[in-house]
Amino acid sequence: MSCNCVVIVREVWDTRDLIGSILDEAGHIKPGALQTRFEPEDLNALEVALRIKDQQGGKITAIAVGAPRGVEVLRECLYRGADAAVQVDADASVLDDRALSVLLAAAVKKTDAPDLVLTGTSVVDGENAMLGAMLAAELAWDHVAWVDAVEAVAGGQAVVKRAIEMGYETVQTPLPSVISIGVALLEDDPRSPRPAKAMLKLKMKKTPIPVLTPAELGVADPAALVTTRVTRRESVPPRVIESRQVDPEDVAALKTMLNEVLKGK
Amino acid sequence: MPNFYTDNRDLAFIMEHLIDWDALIAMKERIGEDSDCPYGSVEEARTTYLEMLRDPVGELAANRFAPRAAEVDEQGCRLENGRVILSEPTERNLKDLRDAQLMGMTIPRRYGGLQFPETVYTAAIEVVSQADASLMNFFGLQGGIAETIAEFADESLKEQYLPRMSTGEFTGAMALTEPDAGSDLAAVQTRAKEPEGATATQDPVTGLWKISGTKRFITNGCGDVILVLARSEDPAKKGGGRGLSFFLVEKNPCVTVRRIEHKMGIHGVPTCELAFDECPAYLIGTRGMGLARYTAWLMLAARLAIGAQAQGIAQAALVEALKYADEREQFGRPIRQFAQVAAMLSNMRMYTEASRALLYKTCEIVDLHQGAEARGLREEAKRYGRMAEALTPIAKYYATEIANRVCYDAIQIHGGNGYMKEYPVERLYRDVRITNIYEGTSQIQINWALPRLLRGDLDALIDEEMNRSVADPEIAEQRGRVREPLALLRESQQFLQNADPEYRELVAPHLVDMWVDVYVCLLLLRQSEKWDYKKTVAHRFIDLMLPRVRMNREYVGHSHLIELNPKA
Repeated sequence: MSCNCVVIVREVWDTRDLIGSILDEAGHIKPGALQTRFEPEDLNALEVALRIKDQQGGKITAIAVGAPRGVEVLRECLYRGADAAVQVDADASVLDDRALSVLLAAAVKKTDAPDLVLTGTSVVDGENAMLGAMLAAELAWDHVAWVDAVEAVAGGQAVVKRAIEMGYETVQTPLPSVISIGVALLEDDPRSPRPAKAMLKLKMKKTPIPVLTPAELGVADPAALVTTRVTRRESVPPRVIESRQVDPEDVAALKTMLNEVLKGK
Repeated sequence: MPNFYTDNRDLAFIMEHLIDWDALIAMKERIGEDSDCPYGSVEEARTTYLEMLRDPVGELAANRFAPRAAEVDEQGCRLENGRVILSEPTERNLKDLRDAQLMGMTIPRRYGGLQFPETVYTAAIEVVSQADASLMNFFGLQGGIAETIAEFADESLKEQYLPRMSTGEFTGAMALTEPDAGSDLAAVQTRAKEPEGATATQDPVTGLWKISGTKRFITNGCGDVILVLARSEDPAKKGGGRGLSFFLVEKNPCVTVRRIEHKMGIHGVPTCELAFDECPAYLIGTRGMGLARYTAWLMLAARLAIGAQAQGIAQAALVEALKYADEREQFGRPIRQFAQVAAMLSNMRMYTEASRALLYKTCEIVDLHQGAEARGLREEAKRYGRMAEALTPIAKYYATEIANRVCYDAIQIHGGNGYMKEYPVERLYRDVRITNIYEGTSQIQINWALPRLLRGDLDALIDEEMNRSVADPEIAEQRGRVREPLALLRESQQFLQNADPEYRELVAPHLVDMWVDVYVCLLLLRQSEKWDYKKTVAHRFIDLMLPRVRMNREYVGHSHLIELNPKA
């Protein structure tokens, strides 16, 4: 049975290898301080969709919300083997999960009958892991989060494996469902999602990506749907603990140090 | 996630800021001339190349190949009932390369390849080799073998083999070496029997040649497309190298793998002894040109690839050494803070960057040469061709010798731990050791380079750098310091013009080293114009190079041919 998947992908700040503060005095991210990258869990979600396609066929549509420059991730989906990509033309940075899920639900409905919607569970810029759940609510579909692998899609059901504390559980969910993918792919090797395909990259670098405006999705003003707002960020510098060394043979010095440490000096 | 292209700042810097893409792309791509050309502008071509190095090449290397490398090394290859079995992680690596559609990086687009310049391919080889040196012998030799077919074989052969090499369904091997013909390939004994009623240019449809003989030390000899150097002419009429032709053999039951070698390193790739028994073969190109033209051509491509393999191993060793020197504490502080360790690390970095500068300069020239040839620009093709022929052996020699030294130091920095299998430097040290031996030993490279240096084939390259106008006074001052060693180099070149051939060969390494020292300084100074950090690299290099060039000048003038023998 072929299985059609929609993958929601996001381009996020690349917070690796940061040097110095990235926030300005007002608590906003300094322009140019950060690069962007493909949200890693979204990449895992895409990989899960591609594996389903490898095994049983079907069509993969990638959807992202953002300005054209902010959705290069869509092209990266095509390079990896997604069949179609759709850009929802709205400024994602000013929208919350509720507004995003309204737009995305409308966009999902416009794709041809998906069996599964896949997305990353936790996303570094919001870190609230709500988009999948709210999107499912908006679509009135079922939702499973923290999924590490989709084990089977057959008979109107998807069987997925999800991480729980100290182990895993296997969950059955009816199609269509929204599935939020977590960190691991549950395989020793390869551990990482597949890279781009060179030929596809050469061929599809200029393929036009269709755009849906909020109006086409039945939303006049997405910003009006926003209910939660980040009003300020502040950075907390990491605590610096200085290490101390004494000669382990020198019992007196050891005692003195222990005393000082216990008294909080 | 790590990425072996973007994490390698020096390589990314060279690719982004140093390669003259305008000139290179103008020669190699036919933007606006050819409907087949997938690029609308130079910038688009350049971006596409570099983007491809990031993903899939750099991604795959860091996240798939590197984590498997220790296992590949441990498992190695096996020979069972005449069949070569690769290790499972190597099979996964090859599948990943095929899935990422990277096996035909330089094969023409009309045969399903990417048709990328050698510069991009070489960078990809470096990146792959950093992750797993043995994987390079599949990935990095594919190009030279396929290009030889693309360049010289009949159209029907190209159509038959190149598309399947592009997808990676077929991998290649070069069967040149024999038990008694190593560096001296003119001594090849494998025979090629002419088909009945054949003509000089063999039509593969009407008749096949038959190959019989033994080839030894054949990397990936179990590959599907084997290029064979064999004796097609009567030794009485046309002996030596003139009697050799070049053939294509597709893997079949009359080629048997007799044994695979138990090697010190590059365990992931099988090194085979092949026996050919009346094996059907297609002639490539013209009879009698096997050694002089096709083997020489193939070897140039392969030498560049081996240079890049060494470069990648050196990079891996440098990364490991830096990591260890940071983590390892002795006497209450990280060992990188100790003067001798710090100096070793800086020198490793400096020499790694020095050899990389020379390697990619060579790639540029090779690309310009290929482009000029394809465009029928005879003057340019001749000029760049001479440069490429002289530069390639030098770049291979330098990169592989430096890489050996860098791996040696990387173990030294690890101390006793580096001698143990637990740390990757142990593997790197074994893997790198072959690089300055195969595809021509360092001694062969030097012998190839020497007459070309004495003829002045590379003088123009040095002049070009010396005569460039430089705005930055600091760089100009440093360049001024290169005048003395350059004068010593010229003096030595002059001195050897009329020297006895045997003496020349004896002191050739010193002359080549002098040339490299001078030219690499100039390349590093050129890099300094684009990246301030490189000023410190160039400065350090010049400080170390000056006394060395003076020393080599002494050796060129006063060396001894006499063998030391207490019994005499």
